[in-house]
Amino acid sequence: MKGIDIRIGEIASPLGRVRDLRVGIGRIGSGTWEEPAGPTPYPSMTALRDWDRRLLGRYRPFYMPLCDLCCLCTYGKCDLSGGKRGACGITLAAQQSRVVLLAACIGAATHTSHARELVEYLVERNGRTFPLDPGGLQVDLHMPHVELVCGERPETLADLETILDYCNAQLIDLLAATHTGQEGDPIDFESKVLHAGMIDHVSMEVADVAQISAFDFPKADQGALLVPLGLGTVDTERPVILVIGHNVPPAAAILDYLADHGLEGTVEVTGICCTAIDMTRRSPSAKIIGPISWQLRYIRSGIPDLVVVDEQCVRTDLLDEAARLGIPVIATSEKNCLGLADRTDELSDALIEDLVSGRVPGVLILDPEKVGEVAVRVAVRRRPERAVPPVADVIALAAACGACGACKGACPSEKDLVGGMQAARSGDTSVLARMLRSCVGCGRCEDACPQGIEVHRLMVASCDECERFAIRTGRGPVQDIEIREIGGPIVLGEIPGVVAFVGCANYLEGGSEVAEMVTEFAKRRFVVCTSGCSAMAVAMHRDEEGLTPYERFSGRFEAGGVVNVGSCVANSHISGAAIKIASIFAKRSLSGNYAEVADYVYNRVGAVGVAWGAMSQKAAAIAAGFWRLGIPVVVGPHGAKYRRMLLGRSDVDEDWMVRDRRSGEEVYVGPVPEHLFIAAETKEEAMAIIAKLAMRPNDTSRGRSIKLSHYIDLYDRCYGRMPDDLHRFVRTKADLPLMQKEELLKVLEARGWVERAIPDPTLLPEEALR
Amino acid sequence: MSRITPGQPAMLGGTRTATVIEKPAVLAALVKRAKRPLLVVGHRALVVGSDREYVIDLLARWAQKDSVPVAATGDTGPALRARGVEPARCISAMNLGQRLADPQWAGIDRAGPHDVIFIAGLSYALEWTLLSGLRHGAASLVTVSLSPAYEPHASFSLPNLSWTDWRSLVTEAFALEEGGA
Ligand code: SF4
Ligand code: SF4
Ligand code: SF4
Repeated sequence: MKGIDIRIGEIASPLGRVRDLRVGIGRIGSGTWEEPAGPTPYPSMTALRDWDRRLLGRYRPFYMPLCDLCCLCTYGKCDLSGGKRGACGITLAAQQSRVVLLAACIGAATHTSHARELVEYLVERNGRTFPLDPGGLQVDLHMPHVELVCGERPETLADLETILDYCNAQLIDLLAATHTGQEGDPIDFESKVLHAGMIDHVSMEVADVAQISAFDFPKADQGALLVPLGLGTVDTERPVILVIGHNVPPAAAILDYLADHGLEGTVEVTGICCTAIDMTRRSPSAKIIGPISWQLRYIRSGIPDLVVVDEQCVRTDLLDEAARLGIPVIATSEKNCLGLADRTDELSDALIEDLVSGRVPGVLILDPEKVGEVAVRVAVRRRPERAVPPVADVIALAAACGACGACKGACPSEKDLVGGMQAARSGDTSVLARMLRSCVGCGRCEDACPQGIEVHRLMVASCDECERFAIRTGRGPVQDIEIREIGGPIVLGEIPGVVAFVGCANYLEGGSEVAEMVTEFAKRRFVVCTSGCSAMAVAMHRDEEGLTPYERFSGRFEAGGVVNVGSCVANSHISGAAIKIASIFAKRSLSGNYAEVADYVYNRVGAVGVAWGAMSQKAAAIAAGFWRLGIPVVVGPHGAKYRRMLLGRSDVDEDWMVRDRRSGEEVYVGPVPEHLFIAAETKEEAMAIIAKLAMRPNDTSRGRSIKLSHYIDLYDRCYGRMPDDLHRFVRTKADLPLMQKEELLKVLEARGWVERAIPDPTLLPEEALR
Repeated sequence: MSRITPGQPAMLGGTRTATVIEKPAVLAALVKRAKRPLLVVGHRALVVGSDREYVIDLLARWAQKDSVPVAATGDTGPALRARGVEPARCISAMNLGQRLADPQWAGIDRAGPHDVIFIAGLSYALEWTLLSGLRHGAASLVTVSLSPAYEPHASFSLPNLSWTDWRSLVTEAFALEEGGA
């Protein structure tokens, strides 16, 4: 249903007077956008199936089941191993892709719900006609995803409701496809995974554009401020509030309450996870503690006087953890009520007394402004007690360790905790302290210990590192002018690539690896973007000169820049920048023109996503949104547990044929990019893979030679030799880096290499291109 | 079916689990039976061990002695080379898994498909998922986990072993001389 658009200048109703009301069903009805409608506005879940199948024909799923069984209906459990089918007829491969789709739906639903909650709140707070302005004068193309997918150009907060209606409807359809006896073909499931990913990026864009506009976050700001990060930034002499989650209104209301009551600078407002980043976009006085892995550590430090949680990635045992130290909790989200009584409608004074006195461990308040008031007034009353076991206690407590190894077997980071505990027993707590650097803070070691030893707590107590770092706060979208300046060099390959470090903090070897990779690629003059927990991990690392990557490199979207776009939902600006290149630089029409633009991005924009610590279902959906645009994603070793990779076969030449738009012929372009989704084992391997995945068929010879020189160098660093697949990436002699030309030619000749032409590449048939 | 606990106890995966290699003779027999073996060595082979010797040292000695082709995953290649073993291929674990699951694949050294892989040194979860992929995608391939932590998805796996026990089992099974090849 499309095309209904009602406009009312002013109307009086029992609810009050409404001005400039516009009601659209299916369409927003903006009159200012002249682009002709493309072939797939508001695509259904099969509208882009043909494009998906072209991608999935190259990048075939490699399934690695986490479980051979299915228990989704009462026919089961069904054992799907050894070629057996379930009672419904499903195969193990289809079951894996079904679970991947479920994960992607959970992720996309989470962002869509988050976006809806934000938009509803902001519509009420700022009015339906409040204008969208994510980039000030620097951004004309406000919402590339929405334009590309929906064929709409929203102008006001209320316009976003229509977009979210579409996202909701798509997610319901996708979820329905996972019911027993629906889809059974793995590739059809995979196509739907890509659809969920595309929807996810639309929802993320809606959420971030809404909050940038209404909360006045930095607007595409190259000079976004450096803000404090780390435990050492907290003034513990002041009352301390901790906020955790992703949906910023309650945290913003806390900051507003402090400002409105002249209390700025008297209360420390600290945060973990994306709400922390978004708080600093609202006010540079807010402080970021770190990524999600810091929750247990920070609460157990006893520093916070109060914990406020909103939604996503909040530990579900948080209330128990806080209660052990008598720290009151305020839950603020309908999606995360923590079992607490809803006391939204009660007077603030009563809530404050109950929380301060400890009569209740926490309350649920579903009104951000009330949260702002109650949180500040509770925090200023301070908790009487703060607790960290002293180091002497660590040694005494470690004495109970029987070296059984149960903690080690439970540790996802594969830490030698037995060794750490034995050292602590004999008085050396430094081993445990060092291990904390690569601990993901899951607490599984403690639950596993038959002696009841709180292993993680002892690690925290052993570590007195209390550092201060600096992070450039989330700047929001990439400017149109930045795209005009470097869209060309990116498409021609002269800037060797755009690498985005995104996602969670589930690292095997600690977050410093992300910082090292960011520094490496920035030094190599790639454009580097960061977001979410990765953006924080990057900040927690200093170079030899004591600078974090944000202090060392510029915040411009340029070669050698390190651009923190913002929280998880700001990931949409990274994929959005690729879409903007197609629109602003290449003048491709966006409106409902997904396949053509994705084909452009896939063949020409050397972008690579890296989710080194990806953990969540949201990360799965975010990755899928990149894949549908033809942007490959590299994950860390834990990422293999997403249970399937999308891998190309560089050794199968038929897989790498494209249509040359100039000649109309099918031509070989080499395996570029070689994979859509791959888990790497070590950061050295990841860096070689990233450099390789940045190559695109459209690279000019100059661009390819720059990209090849990085690939050869990083390959050599990892493997200590010349790439086995070098010949597949060299089209003409001019592609070879000048300094190594002679040496490389000898390698190529030995491999029987012959020159080939550089086409104008497309995966699409002529009739699909406008 | 064995009741042995996986190296990470939560990592159970289904109704079938790997046969446990309790004795060196079992591993020796698997080596003997393999017509086209492949040894896969990941980067943690450089981490697990004692101060003087690591998993990679014993695996390299075996590869040298029995001329077993080696696939180096992660950034293990240079460390193998330093121990006198030139890997047939440096390849990511996922890439290798996909190729092993392809019956048309000509093998790591293009000398024909492999019938048995011996694998060690990937992070536990990565090895676990790769072995799961092979169990389902490469049903006729025999997979032998040489890691000192039980991997239920392999066809055969060593049990959870201390370094000393692992070292002595492997030394005997591969008929390695003490003190180096
Ligand atoms: S959905 Fe199919 S495979 Fe799963 S339990 Fe039901 S019948 Fe078995
Ligand atoms: S809390 Fe840290 S040490 Fe304990 S199991 Fe989790 S990652 Fe390992
Ligand atoms: S589980 Fe407990 S007793 Fe066992 S090694 Fe770990 S800390 Fe020691």
